[in-house]
Amino acid sequence: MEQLAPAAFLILFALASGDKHGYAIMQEARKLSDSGVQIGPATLYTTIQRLLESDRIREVPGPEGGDTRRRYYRLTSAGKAALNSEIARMEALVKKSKGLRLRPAEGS
Amino acid sequence: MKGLLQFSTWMYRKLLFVYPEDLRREFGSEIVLAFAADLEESGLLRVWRCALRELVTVALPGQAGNPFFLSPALAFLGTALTESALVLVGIHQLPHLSGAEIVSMWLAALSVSSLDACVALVVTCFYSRCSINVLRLD
Repeated sequence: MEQLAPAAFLILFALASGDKHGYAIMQEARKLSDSGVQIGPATLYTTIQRLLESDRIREVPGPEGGDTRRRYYRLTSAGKAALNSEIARMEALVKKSKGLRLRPAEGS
Repeated sequence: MKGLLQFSTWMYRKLLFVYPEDLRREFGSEIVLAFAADLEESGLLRVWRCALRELVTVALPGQAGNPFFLSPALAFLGTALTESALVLVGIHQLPHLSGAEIVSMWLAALSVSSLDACVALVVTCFYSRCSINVLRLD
């Protein structure tokens, strides 16, 4: 499976906890990356457009009484698979980095 | 402050024309909504810094295949760089220049760059109407 761009990964990650509209995704992505990755509105919707085209997310009706000006998005099974694959790739990298002792062990 | 935020949002809405048309058509209003909400939460400076960065990282690559955007943009950029270098040399060579004269030099540089962009757009429009004649050798 192809590697996800940081913005796509964060958007899928943000949607893993439930359906959200664009701005809520942006806020969640900021929290998840500890403000390390700056996702602005244009990056957000360009990435959402690509994820919709690749069927990794889909549009769903908003909650009762929600903001009708905003569209809500949900992770699809293909999106979950891509997210899991990316997390597995990252875990493998972390495992390898531990083997190389790139950082001092805790307590030393 | 509220007026400044509203003006910022208006400016950003106008700036959206540089983004690819399909993105604007599909998500334009939501992009502006997200920008306005972010302005209130993150502040003017941070949001504009991000918006300007996105102009380079999202808007320009998105228009890479659009000659009607790309040729005027490249013409503007090329002329603006050359003119800016000339203005800077002028300021360096003539230290007695007044503030008003320096401002007028920059305005002249901007005008020439804009004119170049317009000429590039007209030339692109003209050539887009020309059909390409293929020579058949058989």
